Amino acid sequence: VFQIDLGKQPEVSRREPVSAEEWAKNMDSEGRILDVDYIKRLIFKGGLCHTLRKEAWKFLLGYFPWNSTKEERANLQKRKTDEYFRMKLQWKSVSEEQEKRNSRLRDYRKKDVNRTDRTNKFYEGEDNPGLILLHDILMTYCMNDFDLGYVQGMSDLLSPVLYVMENEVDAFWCFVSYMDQMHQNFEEQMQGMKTQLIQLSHLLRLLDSGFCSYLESQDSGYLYFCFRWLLIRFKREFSFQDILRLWEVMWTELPCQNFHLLLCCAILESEKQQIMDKHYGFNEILKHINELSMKIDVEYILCKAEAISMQMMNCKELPQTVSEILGIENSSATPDSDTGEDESGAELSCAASLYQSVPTANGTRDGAQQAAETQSLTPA
Amino acid sequence: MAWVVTQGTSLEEPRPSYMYKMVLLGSMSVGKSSLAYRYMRNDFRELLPTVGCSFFMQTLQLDEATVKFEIWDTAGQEKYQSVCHLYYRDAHAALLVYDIANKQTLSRAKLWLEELEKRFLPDEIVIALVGNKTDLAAEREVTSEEGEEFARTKGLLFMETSAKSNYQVNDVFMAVVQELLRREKEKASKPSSRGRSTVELRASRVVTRCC
Repeated sequence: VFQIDLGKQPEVSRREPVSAEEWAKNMDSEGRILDVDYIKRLIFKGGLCHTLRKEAWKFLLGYFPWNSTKEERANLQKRKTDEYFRMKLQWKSVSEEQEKRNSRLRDYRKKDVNRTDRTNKFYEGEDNPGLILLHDILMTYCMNDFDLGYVQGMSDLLSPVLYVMENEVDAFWCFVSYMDQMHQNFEEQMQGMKTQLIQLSHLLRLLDSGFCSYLESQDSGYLYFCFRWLLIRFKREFSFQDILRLWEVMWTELPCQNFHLLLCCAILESEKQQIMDKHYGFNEILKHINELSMKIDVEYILCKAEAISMQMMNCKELPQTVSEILGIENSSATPDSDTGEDESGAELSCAASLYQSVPTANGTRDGAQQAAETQSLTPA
Repeated sequence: MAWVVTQGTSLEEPRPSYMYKMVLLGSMSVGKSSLAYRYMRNDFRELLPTVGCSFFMQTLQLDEATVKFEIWDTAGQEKYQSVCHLYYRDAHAALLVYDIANKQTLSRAKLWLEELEKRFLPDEIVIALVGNKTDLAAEREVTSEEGEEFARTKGLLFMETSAKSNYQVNDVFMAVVQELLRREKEKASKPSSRGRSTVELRASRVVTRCC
């Protein structure tokens, strides 16, 4: 089989989280963010310091348009608050009898919500206000998206968002935006999951066809053992704090589309040796991957995934399928993360070069910058 | 289906070792993870809904054998059924769990049984029907008799349990182990044509972590 040489994996370093000063410095007097790409790039390289998350996540998730002024955002929030409470009232006013005949609402009522992140202080104990909010937001989400219904795993996506927002309405709208990205994972036929598993296998094959063949020989070529990773974006694989970091990095949509799949590749590549040396079979692979939970170093894996992205973007003979998955060259397919909220301007401003110069500790960015030139046309 | 069996060095070690895979199946929120958690840790608490699958390992030193017991706990929601077959592959035993306070969950357990019957021959897998949450007696929707009768017609083991109040949880797991061992003995006495694979047990990597 023809093997494409990706060359050596470049060294990648990460930077400190974006500080409040850095964030403030990049804003004009009306509260408009000056250089969106620059700030995204900083977030990609280091994440955010915790105090900034409450504000910055609203942009990253698409609740706030990047080019909005402080005043526009205040108006938006006001509008969205009304809209939220209107929807909330809809389910609040459903009688017990009505609910008995509505399976969707009943599903939402099920205990799952009460089982989310109970070891986190924010959600600890009985009748915890955090839990009540989690429940109310999910119920209201049902009013927002009747067709989807409740799917196990959705509360995993909501809980870090609510934890950061500390506000019911903001958390709801950020969650709505996040679900726009993740929706397909939860649909009836789980099409989103199938697509991602196929895309992942394309990427892994390019990266390491030997490992792919091994997995196939163990009846594991479909990579089902990555199911949980993909379904809820690694939520169960990392500590709560690490997930906050990992998600904000992913939400920058840098350095390419589907970066989360490269994270999968990075983890799998780290485990390949053990899996193959010990000659793990179908069940053992599933078990091994499952037991990686809480054992993966988030910064290490972010570096590795970025290095892989650089390898792939520098590759001159990148297969068409792979460049489409990563959204490089003049691909038209990009992940749809905006909420459709008056953002026409935001979209334009994001389309500039993804790699502005970012101060880093060493000079390992050359590869990425080269790669950036080839993808600067990709709409973000 | 391969019975993963280590006979040990039969001369020096009279007790055989067996490794069994057991899978927990059933609707969401019937208490699959809680049963596993009670059995493994003898404790009860609110657990995260299982996404995909989680694992528990238990080694039992019984008089007649050493049993390594691998418990695969699965996600209950119907939407996830399409991936569940991956988890019960090569299973030696299954617990079909329902909630005695929710009649629908018994129907769902019946569907699971049909699914298993398609994939396994009757002598390939030990199946127990488990009516959990006897602590919710006031809200009971399924009588003991109904569960028992269904199990009897289908040749399943049957027990009612409460993971919360620790009622018969250990018993149901032990009943399954005893049945597995009984079948081992039966097979040993009349060797079948089916080849047994002898696999070395990995150096006791006993994992009792839960997710």
